[in-house]
Amino acid sequence: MHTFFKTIFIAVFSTIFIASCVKKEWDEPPVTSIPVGNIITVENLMDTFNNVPIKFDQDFSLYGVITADDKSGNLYRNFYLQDATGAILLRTLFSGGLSEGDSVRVALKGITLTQYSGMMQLDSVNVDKNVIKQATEKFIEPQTVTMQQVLTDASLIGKLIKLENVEFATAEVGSTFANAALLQTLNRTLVDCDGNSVIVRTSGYANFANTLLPYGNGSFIAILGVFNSDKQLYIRRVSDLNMTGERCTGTPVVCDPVNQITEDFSTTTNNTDLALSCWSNIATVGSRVWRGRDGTDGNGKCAQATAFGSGETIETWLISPAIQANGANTLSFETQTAFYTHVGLSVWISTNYAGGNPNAASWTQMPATIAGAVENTWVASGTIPVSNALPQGYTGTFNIGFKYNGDGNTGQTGSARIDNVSIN
Amino acid sequence: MTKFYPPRLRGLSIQFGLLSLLIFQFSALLAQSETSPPDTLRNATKDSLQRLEMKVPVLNISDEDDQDGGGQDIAGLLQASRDVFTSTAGFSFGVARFRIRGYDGLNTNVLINGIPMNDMEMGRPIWAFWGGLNDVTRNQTVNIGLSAEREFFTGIGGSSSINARASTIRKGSRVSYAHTNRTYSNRVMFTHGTGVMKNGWSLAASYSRRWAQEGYVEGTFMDANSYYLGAEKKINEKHSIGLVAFGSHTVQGLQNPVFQEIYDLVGTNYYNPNWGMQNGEKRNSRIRRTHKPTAILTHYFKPNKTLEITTAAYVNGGRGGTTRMNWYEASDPRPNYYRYLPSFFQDDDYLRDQTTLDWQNDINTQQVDWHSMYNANRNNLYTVNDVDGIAGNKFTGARSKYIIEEIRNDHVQYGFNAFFNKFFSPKTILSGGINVNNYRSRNYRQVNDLLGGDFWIDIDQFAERDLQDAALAVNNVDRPNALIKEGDPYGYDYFNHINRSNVFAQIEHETNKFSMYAAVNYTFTQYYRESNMRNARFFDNSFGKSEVSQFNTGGIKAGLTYKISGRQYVSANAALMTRAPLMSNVFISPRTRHDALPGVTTEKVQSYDLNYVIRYPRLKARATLYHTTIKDQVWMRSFFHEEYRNLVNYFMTGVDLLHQGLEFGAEWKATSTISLTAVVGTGFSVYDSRPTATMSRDNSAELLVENRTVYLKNYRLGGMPQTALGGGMRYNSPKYWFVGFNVNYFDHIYLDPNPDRRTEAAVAAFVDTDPQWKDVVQQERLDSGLTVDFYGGKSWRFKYKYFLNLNLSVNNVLNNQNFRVGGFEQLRYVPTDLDRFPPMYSYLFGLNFFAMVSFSF
Repeated sequence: MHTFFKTIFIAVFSTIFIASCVKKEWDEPPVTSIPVGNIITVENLMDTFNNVPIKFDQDFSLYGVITADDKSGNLYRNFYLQDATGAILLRTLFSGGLSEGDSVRVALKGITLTQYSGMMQLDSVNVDKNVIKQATEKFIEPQTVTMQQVLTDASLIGKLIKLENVEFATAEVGSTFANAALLQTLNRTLVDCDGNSVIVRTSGYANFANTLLPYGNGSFIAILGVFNSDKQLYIRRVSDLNMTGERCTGTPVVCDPVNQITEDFSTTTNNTDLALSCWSNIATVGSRVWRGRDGTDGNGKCAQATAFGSGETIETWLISPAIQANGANTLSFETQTAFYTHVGLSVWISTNYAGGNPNAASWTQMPATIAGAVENTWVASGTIPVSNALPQGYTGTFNIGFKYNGDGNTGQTGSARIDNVSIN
Repeated sequence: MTKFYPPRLRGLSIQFGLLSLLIFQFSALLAQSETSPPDTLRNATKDSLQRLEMKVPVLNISDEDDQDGGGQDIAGLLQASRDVFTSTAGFSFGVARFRIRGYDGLNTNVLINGIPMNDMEMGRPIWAFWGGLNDVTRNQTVNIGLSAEREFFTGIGGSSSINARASTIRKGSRVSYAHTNRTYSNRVMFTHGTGVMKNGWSLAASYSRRWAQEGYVEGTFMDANSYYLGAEKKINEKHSIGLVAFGSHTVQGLQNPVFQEIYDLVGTNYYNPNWGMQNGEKRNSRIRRTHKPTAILTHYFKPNKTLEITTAAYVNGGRGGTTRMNWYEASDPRPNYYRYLPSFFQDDDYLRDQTTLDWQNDINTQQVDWHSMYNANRNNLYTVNDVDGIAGNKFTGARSKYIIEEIRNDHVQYGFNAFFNKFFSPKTILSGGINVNNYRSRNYRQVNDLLGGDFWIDIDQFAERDLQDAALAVNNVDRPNALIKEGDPYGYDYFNHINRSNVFAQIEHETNKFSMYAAVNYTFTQYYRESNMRNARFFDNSFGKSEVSQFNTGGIKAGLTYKISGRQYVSANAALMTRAPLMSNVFISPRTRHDALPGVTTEKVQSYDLNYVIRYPRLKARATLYHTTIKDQVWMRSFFHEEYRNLVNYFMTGVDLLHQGLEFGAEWKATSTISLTAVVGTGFSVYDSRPTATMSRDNSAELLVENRTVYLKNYRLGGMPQTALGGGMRYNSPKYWFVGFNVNYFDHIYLDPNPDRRTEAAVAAFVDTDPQWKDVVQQERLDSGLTVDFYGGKSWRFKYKYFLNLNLSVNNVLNNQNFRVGGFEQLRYVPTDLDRFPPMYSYLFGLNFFAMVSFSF
């Protein structure tokens, strides 16, 4: 009996074990080759295109070299491909996967050739499935061109180009390429010494968005793009810019952060737009900005904003230079109304204002005593501790903004005046 | 020819469950115990009877156990309990994730041969480490809740003390085969014990294999080999030496829960996103491989009849790891990524319809597309400059965009344990012990499969994108631009060091009307991190040893039983204790740096219970009221944050929990063959504080959130039914067979809340009268559920020495496939669009069975 059972169990166990191998190792699947089909050039693509998107349903192959990738974040899912006949934008389904210098074959089946605001592009490129890499580090040298060519030569669009002896516009030096804090794309102006200019467009997602524009004159490598009638330059990386030479279009004022500000507006001219050094005076709605005004009281000159007689909605900012936070900063100023209809003035603080449009920065309103219905009387704001509005332990800079809102259409026309701004 | 074999229970009187060749066979015996009580019960003292009555295991089936079939094994252990509440909880409630008293597993201790086996890092006992050894682990003493325990100062959940000495393994051989349709399909087990031989030696061995080409859920599989070897030598009446070694080598393909849209699209609530077709076969991307064996050398010393001293040295450790896909500069390869679903294209009818069709018809949309990953990798020619940081060192090859990586946790632990029991009289017993542990785990990521590529580059891709300085993206400064090959560690590589020692003492005393005990404990814990990699973003704060975190904790507990009569008892227990937080909750981002999490302190635990027990020949019942608070816990999860586009760690400190409720179980023998049972477990397990949240980025020192108040008080703990009701009937034939069924009702099942949705920041966009406000903060309650279970078995005896048993149990006989037993809210969320990241749900298995035949000789 015992032997009988043993035999049974040995048989059963053996059967179970033989049948029970659980798979753990994997063979690699076979290599899938993507057919080459007809070979086509960028020029062929341009010639074929007739303002109607073309979706390729047969095998065509485009050979070229990637001149710009999306690693820096400036170009998102956009890659530029150049061959001997021209250049074109590849718009991919997903970010990444191609590097500058990659020599590739693009299998066009499934891809759409189209044009977006003047830019020829191959859309819906799936890098995993449409792009076959032939070699790496086949870097293409940029084509050296003049600003005039950039503005007029359509065959350069999409290409990697190099400009010599160019610089950023005087008014923009000191600003950053884009607004990194708000992830906002910004246009900057690049000029040559003959007064020609072109847009440099940088994404707020670029990892160099927060870098200051270079100060000097020099060489500039970028991809040339187009948006309707505007030519635009896209930078690959800041090191493509070698701009350390002497400027040719004027020397901008360098506004370093200051430790304190005392402004009594005594240098202003009556009824003339304010142009105080390192202050920003910018209309965000309507056309009016802050102006100088000759006072008739002991305060003398002051700054004024008004919607009276404008016939439009007005929002205008007067923004202080950047002030270095010291943990105990205070703000004081005086305000006055005239032809009172409403309190148009509000006071704001920002830690990420980088010049230009204040809407690109984030602002926090400051509590302050501001003149109301009693006209033509100076009202002291009181001493306002700035540190309350700043993060604890903040050691960066901040700007104070005076914003006036009014409306010439609805009768919100009362004037707001400020004077004796003191920030310590 | 056949004759029922009444098993003799072996071992000490306080043990039960031994030798039940089959789970149900033993239950059958218990039901018959009025007419033929097992030897142990007949010989037991009144004291042990009473203790026995109070012994029910408190076991928590963690996800880990649940997925590798360990849950099945634990449920089996529970079923062996004498306590009708506990046996029902084990057999019928466990599958619905019911947790006794709502406790997390770290409140319960498992002891094997007196050694505390709870994982030093997780806090819980990981049953999977010795899963499949049912013949060996069956022999155990279990305590529910607070009670006297002579080997160790156990947690508020109680303990299971497994006796796996070679001398207590049943003499003879046993083979069994089980077939089931759960996480595994087949189990074979072979066990042989010599018993105590004339020369004083006892030898025992057990082996089991559990495997499935495919488990209940598509794409899952299992292959687990478990073993036990034991030897014991009785040197003389005073000294014995024993050595045991056991472990389980487990390889398993896992399932991940998804949200309802996908279950509906594919038409099954058991969809598994982890697998895809490769060369015509199903390949799972998430595979767990675990092998963490244990060896224990024990000296049993009995200098006289009133003193027992047990001393042991032990070691355990091995490899642990779970694989997953990782990708670089490529699209998310997980089919369940939210951007691949029809719901993502709400505003585009064409894409929505197209995606729906793809989901319904295209296997590579439904599942992982392995072949595309291979092709993408092979084609991704890439030149790496300055390989290994050596200038000019250049390599061009296929850089993998997609890989299979394994998150490894390997550990080694050395321990020393000693305890004594001194019987001043049969009614006064003093116990005490010391336990010392040194533990080290190595945590790292490892490339397991380059999927057709040549290498992987070790950088933090989020840092590479965000930072202009490419050097800062490097994870291992000492080897930048390294070509990572299969088997290489990367990303992070650090040790967790834990030193933990504790001492305890306990006194028990019994009088005619009362019995009582009191115990005290002190524990010293040290944690520190030691990294083998220097991270570029934390250059001065990532390499080598961190500072040491130390915790001094202790506890007291006491209990009093009043014997109203020989058949009725009232007892009360109380415990106050503190304990160290888990090591994983001490560092702000242990993968990258040494920074400690601020505000971490010891946890404070208070627990009370009140019990009423009756034991009449035909009616047995127990009712328990419990009340437990756990204060100052830390809660931590890591996840990908949509807005910051980075891996973040979300911590809460000051998390308090409250568990209170009622347990009731009654068993009535209506006739000599029919018995009826009724069981109630209803609790209120909630968050009991407003914790403080901190959110850190993995790759920068910036704290994204600090001091954020989480309005979590009175939210229910999720992922388990807080109410379970059961009723059953059972027939025991005098012809040695039995059948029975249970009807179970589950309620108060909640989704575990995402804490950040209960903050002011989450509802900042709304006012409290907006319906959206309520949608963001309210907790989702899942539907109640009803299940029916069936079981039966029969035993034969041949020639007075061979025994054959057949058993069958069927859970969820009604095949209810729509019962959500668990789920959680995703941690990423958009307050104004909650459906963007909807909750994940898990469903109870439909009809499932476990059939076994065993033969003893």
